[in-house]
Amino acid sequence: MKHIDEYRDGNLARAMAATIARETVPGRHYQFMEFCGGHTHAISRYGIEDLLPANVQMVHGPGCPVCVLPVGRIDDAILDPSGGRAIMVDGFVGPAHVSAVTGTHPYESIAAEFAKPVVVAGFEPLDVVHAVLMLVRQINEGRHDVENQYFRLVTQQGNRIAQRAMEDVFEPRPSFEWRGLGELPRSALRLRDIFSDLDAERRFGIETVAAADNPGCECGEVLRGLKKPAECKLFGTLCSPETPMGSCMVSPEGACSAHWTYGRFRDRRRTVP
Amino acid sequence: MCLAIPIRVDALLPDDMARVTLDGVSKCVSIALLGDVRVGDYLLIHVGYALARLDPDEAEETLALMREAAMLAPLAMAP
Repeated sequence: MKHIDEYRDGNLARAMAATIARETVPGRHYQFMEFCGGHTHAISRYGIEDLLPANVQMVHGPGCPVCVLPVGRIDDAILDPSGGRAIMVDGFVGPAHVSAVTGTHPYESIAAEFAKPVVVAGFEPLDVVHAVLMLVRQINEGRHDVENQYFRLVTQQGNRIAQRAMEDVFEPRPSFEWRGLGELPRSALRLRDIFSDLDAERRFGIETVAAADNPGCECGEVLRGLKKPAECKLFGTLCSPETPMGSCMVSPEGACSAHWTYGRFRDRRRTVP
Repeated sequence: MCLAIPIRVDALLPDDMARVTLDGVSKCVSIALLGDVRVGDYLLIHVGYALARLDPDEAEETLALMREAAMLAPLAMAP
């Protein structure tokens, strides 16, 4: 398949990973968060973590809840809402296809505010490896720019026609509660009044009922990159894609689901001497 | 999930629609969110809508950058 297979070449991926290993500064630790489930899947499915040197680690971030947030709100995801503990991340892999609509410019405030580099990357495995190399280079050079690895499809301004259509139909909600992130002001959309007859929420008077999560579920920690899926005690015991306890396992793009599907046998291999 | 892949345009249809084909599977999609689509273009299709047009020159440049990055590796590590 043209424009797909070229970006899945294992030999090229290994050679690029060797360049990453060569360019990382010995003794220095590099931790990057991808906050889109598309990248989480590519990383798990193609075993990209196995290609990277030991001092380069990927933290699997929130997936769609943050990928679709208005940009000013990403800081709430980066900082622990309980106040204080920021996740130690050196840079971000920015989402691919949502950026085809939004463009790369919304990430400029994140890179500036947090002094962390952001590289918008495609979802194919070579795109992810390439983005990691670009992040390593930015860190080494002391830069925190927004770079666009996916420039074959993503522009700085994005798709203006699609943006206008979104603005015509949707408006921001005053507040919305996200799993693991809590209430975030102006972080979600709803249909505008002129489309209220199409809005099931208003047409049927739906009220949000607070549902208690399984107290053992650590989705919130996983979503914020503080824990890895296998560190949750429900992972693979009570919680699996057949009987999911939290959103990270329910959604096929969730970090737990991706790890269950592609990554759990790697863990087993590592523990066997 | 925002998964999407670039698919080739086979034919332009009325009402801002186009027929696209991937691996022998054909589908009609909306091109209302893009201007000036031509037969042979590769479009990023997501849930029936084309979101972006792939720039073939930029794709070549991406692959060239990747190959260049791969060449920088020590020879012993190269495939």
